[in-house]
Amino acid sequence: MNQVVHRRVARLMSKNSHTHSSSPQITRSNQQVEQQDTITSYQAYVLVVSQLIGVGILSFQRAVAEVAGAAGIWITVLCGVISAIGIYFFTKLCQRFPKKTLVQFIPEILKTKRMKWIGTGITGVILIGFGFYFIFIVGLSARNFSEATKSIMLIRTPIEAVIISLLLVTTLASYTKPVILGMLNEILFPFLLIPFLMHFYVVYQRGELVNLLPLFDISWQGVIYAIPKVMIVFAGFSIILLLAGYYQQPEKALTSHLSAIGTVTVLAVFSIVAQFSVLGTDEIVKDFWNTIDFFKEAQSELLILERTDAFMIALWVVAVFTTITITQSVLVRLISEAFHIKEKDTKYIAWLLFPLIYGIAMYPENIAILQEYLNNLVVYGYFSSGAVVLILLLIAVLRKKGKTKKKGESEHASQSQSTSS
Amino acid sequence: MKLRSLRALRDQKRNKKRKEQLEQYSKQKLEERYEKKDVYGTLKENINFIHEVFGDTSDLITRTFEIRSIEKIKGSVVYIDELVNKDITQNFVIRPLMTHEIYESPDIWRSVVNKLIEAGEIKEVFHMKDVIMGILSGDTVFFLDGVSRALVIGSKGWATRSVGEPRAEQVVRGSREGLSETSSFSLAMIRHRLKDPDLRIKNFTIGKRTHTYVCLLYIDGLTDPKLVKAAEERLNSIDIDGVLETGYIEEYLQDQTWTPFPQIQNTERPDAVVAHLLEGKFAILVDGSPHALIAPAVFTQFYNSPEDYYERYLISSFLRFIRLSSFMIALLLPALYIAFVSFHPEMIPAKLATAMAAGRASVPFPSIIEALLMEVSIEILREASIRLPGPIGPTIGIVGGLVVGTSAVQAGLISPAMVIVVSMTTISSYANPSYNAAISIRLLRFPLMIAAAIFGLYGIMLALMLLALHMVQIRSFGVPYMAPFAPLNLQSLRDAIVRVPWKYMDKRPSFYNPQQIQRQKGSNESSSSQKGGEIDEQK
Repeated sequence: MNQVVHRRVARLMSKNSHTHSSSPQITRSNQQVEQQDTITSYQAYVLVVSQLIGVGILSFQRAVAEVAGAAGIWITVLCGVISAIGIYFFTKLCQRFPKKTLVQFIPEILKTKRMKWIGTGITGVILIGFGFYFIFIVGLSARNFSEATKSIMLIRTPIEAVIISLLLVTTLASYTKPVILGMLNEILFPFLLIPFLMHFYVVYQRGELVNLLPLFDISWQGVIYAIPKVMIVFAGFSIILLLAGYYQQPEKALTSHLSAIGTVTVLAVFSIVAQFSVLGTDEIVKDFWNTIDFFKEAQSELLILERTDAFMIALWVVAVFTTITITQSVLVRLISEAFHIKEKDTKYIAWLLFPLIYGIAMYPENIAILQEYLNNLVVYGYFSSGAVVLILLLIAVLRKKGKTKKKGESEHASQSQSTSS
Repeated sequence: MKLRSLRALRDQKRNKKRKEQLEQYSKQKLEERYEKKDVYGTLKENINFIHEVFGDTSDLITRTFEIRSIEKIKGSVVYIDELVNKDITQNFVIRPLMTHEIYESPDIWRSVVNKLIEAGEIKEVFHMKDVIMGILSGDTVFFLDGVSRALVIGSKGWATRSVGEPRAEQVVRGSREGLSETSSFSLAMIRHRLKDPDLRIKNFTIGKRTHTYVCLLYIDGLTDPKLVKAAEERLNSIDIDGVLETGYIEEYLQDQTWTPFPQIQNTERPDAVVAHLLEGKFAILVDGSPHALIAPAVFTQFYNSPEDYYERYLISSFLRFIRLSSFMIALLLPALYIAFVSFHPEMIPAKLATAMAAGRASVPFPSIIEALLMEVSIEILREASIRLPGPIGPTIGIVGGLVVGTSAVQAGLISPAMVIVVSMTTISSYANPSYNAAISIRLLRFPLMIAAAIFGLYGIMLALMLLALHMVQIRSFGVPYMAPFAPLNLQSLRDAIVRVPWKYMDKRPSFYNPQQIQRQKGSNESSSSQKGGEIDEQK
């Protein structure tokens, strides 16, 4: 009972702030205060890209090659398109409720007049579902990356030490404000792209176009099997459901999200083309950490380093760190918003989650089982979250919840935004 | 039980009473001194009071004489011997008072003020507090018998150091003047370079005992008023007994205390102060210190030298690149050495690896101990060379670096590669133009080395992630420390890693929120308001 009241107050307050912020008579000083604590459009773009590029891109090429062969290249493009459509609906849902996170807008959509427990109950189930999705992404990615690190860089270090150190750092980062998270990823973004630039060097040395053929030797059934393997790259953009509530310009969210998906698609296609052309689809199936083996192919006469693979793994820490940090931070914020926990107390939530995440990370017995779990997580998580969002959007449209677009108003709002910025 | 609680209650009461008494006593004492006293009506009382306040200090000079008028009223001049300019006090205050005759005027005080005193800066005061402050800051105070007012005559003139060259921030091209310990000289140097009536100077007196003058400088209509207000508030809230250097103020002004990174820049150069003022920041001068504080400061500005703006843009951009790489070397090289030697020898090219292994063959320590030993001893050497008297300093540097280093290698205690690493690190950290940022790098090197010793390259990366996380959280007066990289600001990137030609830097950095963003006539500017300011600001 108490919680319901709380939630109502929160909703009322957020409603007030929403009307206030979108009104045209906004003062300059007000906006600056807001600007300091919100995520800019570029940061939104960076956050989505950094979340998606993580440990998945280290090994999805092998999984794709197993099922689809060289056809994996255009299947990756196809997955990019599917994800773009997916993120379009996600963004549309978020844009109906500007300055609100999923914790606030889902109960608003599902609000029932009679028998309130139905709406609250379904909301709870959805939020718990998302919570588990995020926590599994964090735990399994941490384990997956630690396995890679252990097998390439720290052969004699126990896996527990690697996971704990990684999770300690990400947990420290996970209870920062969203704006700090945005700035952190903004700084790290260039370093995220360096491994992809290194692809050029290897392709230039060893690439053979013949390896990319035959391009279309696959049945439709094969395509269906291959799609989930690629989707591991695109899994996890559900974070925008929460982060979009902190956007400075929610009306520009679609552009940044779509360009983020575009960037990730280009990078994924680029890396799969590069690795297929260097290693060939037959050989890549035999490597477990194919991206690392790919870098081993490089003869670095020009570089100071004899071997680039350990260096690449070191750079990959950035990619994994950003993925885990963003997801973990969204998870912490999801929980603290759902239970109305004060800003200064979020750190306790983060540290309470630490053992749970560590437990999830240590649960799979070996890498093969871990990969299976990851695949299942991606398939179920990706498609069920997509389905949930679609249904929510449909209900929101049918019940006319959220921002019903009036053309004049929205244009005016965007104009005032653009002139002031 | 009861007894104990009763006793506690009694003690409490007693303590409270004692506290009250103490407070009252100190209040009395303060009042007795000068805080709330008005100037007395008679000369004798005034002189007695001043002698009481100052005790029997020997440098306080009181000269009492008769004014040459019908009533033969007595007057008195009070000053501190070494603080006043004797020329002014003798020739333009005491002499006219003693030689001129006043007969016609009924109001002697008026005629003294209007006719007799030949000094430029005079101020009539009514409170003893102002009188005492005037005497302490080098003014001459004049009392007249029967008048409950005092005249504070500006006659400051104590021994000062002449304007010298800045010691820590030398440039090849650019002004040779450095700020002075006397804040009026420093202000003159700044005014001389910035002939703008909008330059505002606000005075604060900080320090309950030192009464140090602190000036806040900003350009009205350019610096964000909120920044100025924040600075004023923070300056006013300082409650300390003494301020001897800008460092005292800096620690009170900064946003975040627990960080190795400086959030406020200091400079000795008046031209740098003006350049920063023109970017929309504010500066703080402290009387008695030849440094100016500049805030808000962002990370990049600690790697910029004022010379960057005087040399041609290609050269300055190249120098900035060199400084950035030296920053990376100073921070990372020892850690990378440890990581490569103890975790990833396969990454070093084969020939180099053999050479390094041969060098390390006789070394009895693990690489982390080796590195820590060398780093700590080089830090000791550095500290020692600062303390040593001038001519011996370089000698010790050579003895320490060359002789000890070479013999340590020959004795097989240290590998030659380690010596190279340590000396590269030290030299690189000297390439940094600002001393306080260089020190923070010296500190951060050690945690990175430890991280490298535990987890190799992976540990270094984790430590760097933490460092990045820490740095984006810092704000200097609300300005994000990592601007213009985070939040990204393409316009301001023109003056971050590279410096583009002046022609293209037509806007001020927007993260300081300047009230006037255009600094020179840009391509898309419509008004022609800045024709005069253009040359001035390019300076």
